[in-house]
Amino acid sequence: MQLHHSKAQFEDMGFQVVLVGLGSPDRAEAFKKQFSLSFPIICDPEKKLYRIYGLGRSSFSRMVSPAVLLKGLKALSRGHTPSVPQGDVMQLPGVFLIDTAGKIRYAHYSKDPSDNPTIETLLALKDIVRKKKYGH
Amino acid sequence: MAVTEAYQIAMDAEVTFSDGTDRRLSDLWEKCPLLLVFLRHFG
Repeated sequence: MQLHHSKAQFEDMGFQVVLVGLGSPDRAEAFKKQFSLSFPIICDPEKKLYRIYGLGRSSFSRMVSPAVLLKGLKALSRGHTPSVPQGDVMQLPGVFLIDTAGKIRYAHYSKDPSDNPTIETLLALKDIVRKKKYGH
Repeated sequence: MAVTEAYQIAMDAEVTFSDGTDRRLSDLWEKCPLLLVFLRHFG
């Protein structure tokens, strides 16, 4: 998981990174161990948070699109061996930056499973928060 | 679809962490900006 490799940079930015997943706490802990993750994980097997943050499900045609298949092949080439997923494989991911006033400063709603913001995009979010802090 | 600078009020909820602890989501953004990353699935 690319996010994990940038943990120190997010910490330097003063951000807290929290993951949200659909599985049970046991599965989440196994997932953390599998990828040596140190981010906290919220378990949301009933999709309560996914719903209130407006994250929908993919269609079958988007699940098997060339972009998604290419991303899967790239993951395999990096040595990521897929395991049996727990949860809803059709669920679309997303990323939100919430400031200390409780306002969403950035939102990314993935349109298909391959549509994720790059690490560079996420690291650039420090400028969004800084703009607000100093009124630029 | 990517939306930047959305400025909507974030929804709060009671959440459960993988270690079994329960917290309000708003507790997480109280002291520092929160990057909330929703995954597709574990695995």
